[in-house]
Amino acid sequence: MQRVKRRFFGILLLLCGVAQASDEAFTLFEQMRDALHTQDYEGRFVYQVGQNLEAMYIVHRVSGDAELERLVALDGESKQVIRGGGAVACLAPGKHRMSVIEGSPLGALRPQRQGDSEALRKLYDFELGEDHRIAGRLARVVRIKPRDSLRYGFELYLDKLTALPLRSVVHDPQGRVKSQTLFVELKTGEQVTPIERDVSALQLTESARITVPAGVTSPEQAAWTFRGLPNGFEVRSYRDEPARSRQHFILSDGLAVMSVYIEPAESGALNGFSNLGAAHLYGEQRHGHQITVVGEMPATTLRMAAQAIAPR
Amino acid sequence: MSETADQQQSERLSAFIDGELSSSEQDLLSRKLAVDAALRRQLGRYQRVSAHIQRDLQQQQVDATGVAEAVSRRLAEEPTVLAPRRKGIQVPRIALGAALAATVAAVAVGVAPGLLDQGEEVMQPQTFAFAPRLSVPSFPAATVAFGDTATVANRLNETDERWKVLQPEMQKKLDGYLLEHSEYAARLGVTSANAHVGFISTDAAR
Repeated sequence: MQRVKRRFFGILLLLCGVAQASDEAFTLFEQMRDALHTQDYEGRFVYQVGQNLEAMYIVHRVSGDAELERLVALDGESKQVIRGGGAVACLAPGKHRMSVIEGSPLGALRPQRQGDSEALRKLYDFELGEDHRIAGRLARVVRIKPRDSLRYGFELYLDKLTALPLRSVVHDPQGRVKSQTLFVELKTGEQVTPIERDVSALQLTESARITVPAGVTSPEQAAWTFRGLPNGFEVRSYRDEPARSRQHFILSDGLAVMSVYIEPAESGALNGFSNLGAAHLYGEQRHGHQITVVGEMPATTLRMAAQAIAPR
Repeated sequence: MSETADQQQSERLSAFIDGELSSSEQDLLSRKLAVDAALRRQLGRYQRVSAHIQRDLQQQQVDATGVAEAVSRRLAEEPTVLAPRRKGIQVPRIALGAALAATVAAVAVGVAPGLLDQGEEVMQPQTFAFAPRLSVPSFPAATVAFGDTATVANRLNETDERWKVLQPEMQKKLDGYLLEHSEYAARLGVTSANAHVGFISTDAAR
């Protein structure tokens, strides 16, 4: 009897330990999310998609409520994305073309609700891995494993001091690496170069903004709705853009995010699957409209979302 | 002015700076500039953008000494990189991941600082003011498992569907979608340093 009791308590302790590790992994994950928007950081990292490796530079500063950010491709074409002053600018040299998103589209996002965390943990398992050392810094490892094949898994190496992701690996449902970023140098806090001094960089975000007239932003008022979304996904944002004859839904399961664009059908539009780097795309024509879905997740999930769209 | 007209005007100004307008188009734009102060201001901003990019380009020609290329080359030199997996040996996935982590970190950290040091002597501190050098002991040699990366072929298996090669016009449009999408992903689902890395990637795989 004593032996049975000991075994019972042993198993109980083991289960408690597993649950505690899962809680700790989830807490670290939430700290990382927070850190990415609240910490100053600057560094160089390597980005891998498929067999392709590229070096990039990033500087991120928080100034009051605003996030100022500059991301530069160090290899190949010198593209950069600058975020600040309520706009996002993408600059591509050679053609000197830039596209700018006016204002922060994030304002339209449905805020995090109590219960979102629980919902997320129903879709993914959070586990702690063994500590590592990346870019000369100690890192804690969090593994996020999807419970189905509709979404990707993640392996995050989080800086022990700041919770910033020193390495992020995206896995497909078969466990293969889809993409990853790996810092080789990282500076944080007061060591970070003040981007505010780089006036010319900030000027860019103020130039040539394209104003998109505000349309309906409530998904309940949209002319389209979704019937049977992939498990766990829900509409987080909606934007009707009459000037572009376009409607834009943002769907998320709390971690994976996809954009669904609906616009009048046109010839030569995407019909089938494609990809831009690590992001997948799916397009098809339904109900006389072109449906295009973008996201870094299994392509079949994008197709499920496209095929769930229907006129209200 | 409508958004489309706005965009067309922006395109014309960019093309003007790039010297891509025909002489008749240049004449037309010059006449407009003579009477439109707002257009002149917009042109001024574009010229600053152009100068900024040119400055960055000049700096990065020195700065971007091909870190990723060097890492990639170094990986390719590792004999185990290209070796096919032996049948019958099942490497645990965690071990494979750990090996990948250790190797990528070792190679990247080992190679990158030396390359970055070369560039810093002539870097302008205003843009890339990196002071610290990494004094990192080299990692012990580990198995390289870089070949585990998913490829286009894997993606084909994923859906058993047709994959489209994007035409330039379509890619330009979808690039815009991706940029916009990345902004939302940055707030809702980001798991790396920046949601725009996929967008900004020059991505030979495209």
